[in-house]
Amino acid sequence: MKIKSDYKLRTLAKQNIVIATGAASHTFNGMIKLNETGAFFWKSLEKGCTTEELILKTMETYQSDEATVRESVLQFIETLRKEGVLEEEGI
Amino acid sequence: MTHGLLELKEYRPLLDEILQSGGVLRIYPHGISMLPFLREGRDSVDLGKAESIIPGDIVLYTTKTGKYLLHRVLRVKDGNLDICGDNQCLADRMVGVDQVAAKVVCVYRDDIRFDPKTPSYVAYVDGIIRHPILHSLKIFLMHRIGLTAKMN
Repeated sequence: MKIKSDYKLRTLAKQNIVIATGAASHTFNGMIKLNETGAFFWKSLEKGCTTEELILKTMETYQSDEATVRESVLQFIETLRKEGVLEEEGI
Repeated sequence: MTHGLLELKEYRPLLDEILQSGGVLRIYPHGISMLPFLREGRDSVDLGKAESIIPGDIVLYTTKTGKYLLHRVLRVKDGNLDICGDNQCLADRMVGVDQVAAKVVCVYRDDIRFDPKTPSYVAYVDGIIRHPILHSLKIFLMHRIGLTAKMN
């Protein structure tokens, strides 16, 4: 699972903002602001990882319990799926 | 994750990156200067790269004071533009093409898409750019009798 290459995370005035470039911008309207955790998820997904890998990585980084992290990760991934931002080869 | 209203001035680098990639950015104009064509809360526009500019195009440009405006080009001469809101009498003259950040490539009214080649769009724009003085006079008189408020 990976973020499509047309979507870019940029930092502007201390804000994490996702923009759609090229062809993706014709179907994706506007921009998305991410908080720090959202940006962490995004950067991990940019490199490509599974849901379980992302949950483990987040638990290690933020020292949080699995239930809380799992809920946040699944919610984040679901939102990206709805927006058509994810590339999910092999699923 | 939030979708929020953004100030174009702050986000100009992102706008430029999107346009350079061949993309478009949907914005929701506010204000009354482009009435009756663009109405706040109802209409939105896609901004694209301003590769060519002809009279009738709506462009996003910066004024000399750094303000961003979305207004219509009335005339192109010697690389400079005369630009005016459809609901304004006085044009901003001698605007350099380097002040133009983007141009409107299509308009959405209640989510119905109009591109600049739509016959009704062409007819409306022709009325303004062929007779700019008449248009200015009409707007001036409408303002005098207080019609702007009704258009809101």
